[in-house]
Amino acid sequence: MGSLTLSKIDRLYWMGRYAERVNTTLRFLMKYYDQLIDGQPMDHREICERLTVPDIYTGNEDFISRFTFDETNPDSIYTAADRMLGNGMMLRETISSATLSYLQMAFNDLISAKKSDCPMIEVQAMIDSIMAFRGSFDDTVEDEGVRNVVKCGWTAERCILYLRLGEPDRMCLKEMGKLIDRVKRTPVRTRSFAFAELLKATAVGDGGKLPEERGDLIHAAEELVEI
Amino acid sequence: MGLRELQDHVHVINQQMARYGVKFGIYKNGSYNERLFPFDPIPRIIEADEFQTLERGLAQRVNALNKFLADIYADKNIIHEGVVPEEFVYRSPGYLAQCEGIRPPKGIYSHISGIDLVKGKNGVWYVLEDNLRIPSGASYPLIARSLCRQCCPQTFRERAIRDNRGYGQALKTIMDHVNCGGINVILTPGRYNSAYFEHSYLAEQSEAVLAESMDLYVENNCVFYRSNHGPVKVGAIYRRLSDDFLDPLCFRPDSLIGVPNLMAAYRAGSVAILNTPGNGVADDKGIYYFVPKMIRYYLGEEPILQNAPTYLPYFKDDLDYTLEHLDDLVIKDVAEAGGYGVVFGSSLPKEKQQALRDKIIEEPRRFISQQVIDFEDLPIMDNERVVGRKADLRAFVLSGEETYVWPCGLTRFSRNPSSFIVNSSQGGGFKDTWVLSH
Repeated sequence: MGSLTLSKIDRLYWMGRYAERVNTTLRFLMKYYDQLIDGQPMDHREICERLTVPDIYTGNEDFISRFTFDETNPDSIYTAADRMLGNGMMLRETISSATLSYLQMAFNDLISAKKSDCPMIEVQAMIDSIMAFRGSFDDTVEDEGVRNVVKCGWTAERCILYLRLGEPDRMCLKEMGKLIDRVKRTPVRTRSFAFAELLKATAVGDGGKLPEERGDLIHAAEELVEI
Repeated sequence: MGLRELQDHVHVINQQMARYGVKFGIYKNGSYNERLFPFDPIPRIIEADEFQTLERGLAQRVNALNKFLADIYADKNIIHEGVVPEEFVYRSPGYLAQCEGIRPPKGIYSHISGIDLVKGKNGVWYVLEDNLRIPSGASYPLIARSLCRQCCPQTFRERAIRDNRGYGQALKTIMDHVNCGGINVILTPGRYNSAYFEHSYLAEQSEAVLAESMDLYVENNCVFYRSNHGPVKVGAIYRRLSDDFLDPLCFRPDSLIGVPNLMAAYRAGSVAILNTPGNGVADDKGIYYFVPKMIRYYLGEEPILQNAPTYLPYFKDDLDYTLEHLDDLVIKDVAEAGGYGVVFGSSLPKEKQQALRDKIIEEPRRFISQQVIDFEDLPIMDNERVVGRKADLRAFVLSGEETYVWPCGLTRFSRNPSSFIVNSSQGGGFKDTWVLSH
């Protein structure tokens, strides 16, 4: 890895985490929005509890709208997208203008969706831009260290969200395995207790089961990287 | 000129601008707002021979200003010989006693100069202002040109337009020229600075490392970059924060965006700072009046470019003239920038004119007055219509081994039909500037 300051490593890691937070949460909300029509959706209060964010919403619809678009809400996707872009902007010369432009596009897509008559379909454009960012990042950023720090961020975030949102064990195990592999190749310090916890949990193999109570694993994934 | 193709594609170009985050920020009423910098696709076009004159005049002016700075922070001959009154130097907020006696690497003070000009309806170019501290704006025509080329290649194929894409490389060359050993860094105050887009874009273009204050530290009078592989020595810093905030141990102690002891390292000669701290003394609106005199004094040449006719109320005759002709003059507060503190005498009601007269009498050093130059309107697109609006030009002059005038520049225009103020902070937009090669 070329010359990077600790603050840049921190930004790379968090750019990855926020980009994945936007991606996974939006996908979850789009599914949830559909379930609200005629399915058996989870109550928004339970989602807030799982994400450990305060329940400030008046109902499921209000939750979707404000959790996605409210710029004054520190837990919203809007805020996560703003932080994703903010970190990216500080890394322009590291990740290139071309790659950064996909994050800017993603943010612009969110603003457009907010103004749209059918916002929850329009946000698909934002997911597309984030996917394009990942592709561009993979394709153009040559520094292995930089790539691993960012990927470490987005794998950690996906792990955390999958565990929190109750995704099946199989999916969580796959992401946890990827996270363990990724940190081994990343020049960041890791906390040994967290690494051991994740390693123990993944020892059950792909078809194995995770403990009912996932709190320790969530904590381990959140605390794994020490910057 | 067959610019229809660009006009027809203005929405595509502006979409691309949004994609690349071509923005600037404004602090208003205590809050920060970022917005896209409105781009107009109809370029300002400067003919080859006209630019040759501008090029010579700009290089001459910046060379004289560099000599002035070298003199002011050392022997002060220009004061001793009565060419510039000492009040205009020592009472300038841009004069920094902390810089006395420091000779910067290679003796260059203003490495990146932004000179603001307007073209009068009589065809004459006038210099309105020199910006020798942290002039911003080069990145906008730079990225606009690359997007316009992609959008309308035929337009560029058919015309002999000088390439502007060498700016990043030119910046790198001047940083390398004064580098004292180590990496080149662009020091930014961070994302919430009004010109943040430019800082990050120029870092990418010039292959410098973009750093915030927390990324740098000083040890044994050397500046180091906190790398994950250990400290890396910094040889040149293109700083994009103002003098006041540069070093809390030397200037404002409450600055959280500066680097403690940076001035000590600079004084020790281990790092170059671009532009040099203390340059504000030479781009003060009061000093502007004396630039033609500096050119004669230091270079023994007649100025190639004219100043706008300017009066200094500090001198009795000029004070009388200003008070008598307020209706025909624009009054500028020397302490203000960015289009603030500029008042057109004719726009004021009688009682406000009187209040301004009283202020000028009370603090004559604080103001300059200038003839209102009826500068040319350039065509801009206002929705689908083409209308004329006032526009200026910020030319960029880079001083290294040689003085280089970038064959481009930032053309800013007013979007308000009755306004002469073009600053982006006042709602203006920008255009590309095409310099023809023949």
